[in-house]
Amino acid sequence: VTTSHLNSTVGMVMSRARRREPSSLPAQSLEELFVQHYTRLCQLAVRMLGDPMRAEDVVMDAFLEVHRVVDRLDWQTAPAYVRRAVVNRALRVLSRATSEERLVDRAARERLLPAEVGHGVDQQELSAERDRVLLAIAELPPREKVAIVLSYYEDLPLAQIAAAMGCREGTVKRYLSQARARLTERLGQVTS
Amino acid sequence: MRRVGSGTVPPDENFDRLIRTSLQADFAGYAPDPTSALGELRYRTRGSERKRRRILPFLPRLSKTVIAVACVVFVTAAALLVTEIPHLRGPNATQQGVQQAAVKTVATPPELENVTGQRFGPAFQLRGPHGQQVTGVLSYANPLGPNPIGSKLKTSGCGTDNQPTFIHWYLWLTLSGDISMVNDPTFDAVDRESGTQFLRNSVQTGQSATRTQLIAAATLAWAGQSQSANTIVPVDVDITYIGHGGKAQQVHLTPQQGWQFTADTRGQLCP
Repeated sequence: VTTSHLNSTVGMVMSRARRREPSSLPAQSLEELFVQHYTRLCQLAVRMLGDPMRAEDVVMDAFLEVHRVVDRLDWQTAPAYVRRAVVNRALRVLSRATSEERLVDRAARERLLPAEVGHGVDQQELSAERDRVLLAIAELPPREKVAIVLSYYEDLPLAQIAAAMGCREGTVKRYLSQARARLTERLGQVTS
Repeated sequence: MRRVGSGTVPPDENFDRLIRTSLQADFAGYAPDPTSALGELRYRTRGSERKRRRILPFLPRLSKTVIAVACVVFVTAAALLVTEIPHLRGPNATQQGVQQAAVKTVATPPELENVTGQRFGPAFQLRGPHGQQVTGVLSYANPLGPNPIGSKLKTSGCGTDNQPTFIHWYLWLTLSGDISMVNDPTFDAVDRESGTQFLRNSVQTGQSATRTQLIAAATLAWAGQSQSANTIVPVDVDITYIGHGGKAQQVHLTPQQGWQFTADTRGQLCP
């Protein structure tokens, strides 16, 4: 593969990624895979971590991990592999976050709330409600939060969530059920 | 509507929609461009790619730990081989170097029962700097039978009749190749507990030690294949045997004329 060919291929993939068109062909190189999935994975990670910088670090580390095994990588399943690497690293970051860091994140989110409120009354109420939901999600335990994001944001079926988190489907069900119960309780208290 | 705690929450469908739309609205404008990140990825993977190509092109799947452990094992084994096997050092080995050619023999004695008068025991081998070989067989005759205590002597010719509490050990040496002795071989047998020292250049028939542990250290000297070189290379042979059942032991050493032992003279070694 010549350099010009590689650059043209990467360029095509990047333009497709900018248009957010799904790629029909699986990537055949790490760079293609990166261009195809980097943005999407960052958007997934930022919803788990709440911080774009951390999210990009996690995604980059995941791709570096993939690079170490690129010789025996199955390109058909490579996207799922990278997603699992991202989820694992995000879980690690969330688990290691100290209570102080969580408090800082929460305070940052709460400070951002008024700034994101819209102009109209309905829009303002809608935005405030979303922010309360996001705050409640941010306060979930790490594995429950990741399960909620994979289920509601990525729209993944249980089997794929289980594969991404490295656990059984029953465990994912339990995470989702517990997360819903917590969210319901918190949002219910807020509503009251 | 479902009531949870003191508040009211929407039905599951609305609730799910709320979570979904909230997550999608969160960081809604966030879409990092992979272009700049791609440069970082290229930069961070370039070094490892180059390293892998240069150093281990044929072992891409082995971890560094496995390779490091294999290297350590290989180097250790090579060092042991070179230090333990004298002829690996080449024909110009120094006398000092060959002195280290210790020969390992058995650490435990053979069983004594039912081997009356038989040639028995572990063989050991010495190797000289020019490939000479000295083989030795430790043999013994147990004149007392399986149960020495109170038994009558069953064998004869070993010079130990009427000494039923003795078990006799013989060290038979067989020289092969072009080896000839140029000085008197010296054999030392030391009962370390009593301090008694036996032997040297004489037949030690009838000698006995009264300790259960007899340590015989034999020092053998021979010249190299080239007599003109007149190189005397002593090789230390440490033989340690532990007595059997508290019986006395004896060492018999019989140098032959010209200090050459052959298999044919084995019978004469028995006193």
